[in-house]
Parts: sequence; structure tokens; C-alpha cells
Amino acid sequence: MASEAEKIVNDFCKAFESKNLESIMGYFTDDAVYHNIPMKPVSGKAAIRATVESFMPKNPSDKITFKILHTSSTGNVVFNERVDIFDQGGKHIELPVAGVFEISGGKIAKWRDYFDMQMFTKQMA
Amino acid sequence: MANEAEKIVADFCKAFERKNIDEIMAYFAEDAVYHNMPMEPAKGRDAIRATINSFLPGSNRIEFKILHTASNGSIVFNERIDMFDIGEKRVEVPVAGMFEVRGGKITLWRDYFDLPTYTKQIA
Repeated sequence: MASEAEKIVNDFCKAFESKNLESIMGYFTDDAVYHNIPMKPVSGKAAIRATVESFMPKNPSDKITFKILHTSSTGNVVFNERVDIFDQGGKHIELPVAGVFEISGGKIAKWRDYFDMQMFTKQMA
Repeated sequence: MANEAEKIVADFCKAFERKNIDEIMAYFAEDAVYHNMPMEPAKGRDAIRATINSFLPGSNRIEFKILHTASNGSIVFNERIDMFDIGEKRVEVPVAGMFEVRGGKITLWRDYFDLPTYTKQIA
């Protein structure tokens, strides 16, 4: 019995599998803020696009999957617990993440992802 | 409009301010698992007590400030700033926690945070 806000976030996470940047960017408000908590927040669609593009797999055979383990919401705030999976360049990377999303007018206005940067960089190395 | 599980987690987080390990441990089920995601999980009450005791007595003041919380049946999420006053230092760690509550007790606690954000501040 997912709320409308939860459904938007579920669809958004699913959209990454298509690796279609236009489709992904369509979920954000113009003044959205995307904050990978170990890094500085990025504000506005242009900056968010650049950040998403930076980790989007480049080769057609690469895959990206945001696997949702649990989700829950209250009003416009949606939490999810995920394993973000990157298959690229022969590497299989799994990153445990907890995401917090704030929805405004059917769009994502805030996206904060909590994870340990070392868990990502060690697997990338 | 917090559900019962959400209230238990809010009370549990509040209990850290009193730094009483027995009071904190009373919230856990016998076979609970406490997993700080950057580290190995602590399984069972003895291991959980040891993990909490690794940071509880060394902090002059502890506050788990809850920014947002949401729940879905037995699953509770919260977004927090965990604050520790250690010596002259104020350490602040942004955390997202996922809890599973069954039979009125915490059976699973997973905290997502960036370990270097913590270790750099205590260095």
C-alpha cells in the first residue's frame, strides 16, 4: 500500500536501470538538491545531471540497479534502504545505501543518500 | 501520528542522552542485530552491549537528534544527527537508521553513515 510519494521514488529508482538520463532528470524539481552525504550537496538540475552522469555506466553492456530492500514514508518524506549495484568494466560493485527523499508537487525536491564512501572506493579500486 | 514501533525507536534514541547502558539494552530483543554498515554487525545482546560501550562512556554528552522518521509496520526509518561531546570536541555524524521492531523490542538496527566523517572528527 505505497503512498503516491513512495511510488514516485520507486519509479525513480527503477528508472536508473534504463540508464536514460532524460528519464531520470524528469523526476526532479528545477531547484532540487541532491546530497550524497559524504560529499557536498549539489543544487539545481544542471549540477544534479552532471553528478548522475558521473556515475552512470557508459558501456551498453554495463548495468546499474537500485535494489530496494525496505521503504517507508510519512507525508512527502520517503525513506528507502537499498543495495545500489553497478556492473561495469568487469567489476560488480554493491553499495548499501539509505535514501531520504522529499517530494514536492509530484517531483523530487530533495534526495539525500547515506552510505560509507570507503565501501564504494574500495570496490572501485 | 507515530505508530508503536516508531515511538519505541524515538524513546530508544532519547535514552542515549542518559547514557545508561542497562536502560538502552532493555530495548533490544535477545537475538537482536546491530549493524553499523561500515563495520561488521554485532549479533546478540552481549556483542551489542560491547559495541555501545565502545562509545557510550567516552562521551560526556550524547544526543541522537531525529530530523525525520517514518514507519511501515515493524520497519522504522529515521534520519538523524548523532552528536557526541568527546573531551573538548563536538562530533556530529549524519546518519540514516533502519530499525525492525517485533514484540515491542528492537530486533534489527542498521545505521548508514560515512565512517571517515566520524573518524576525521575524532582524530
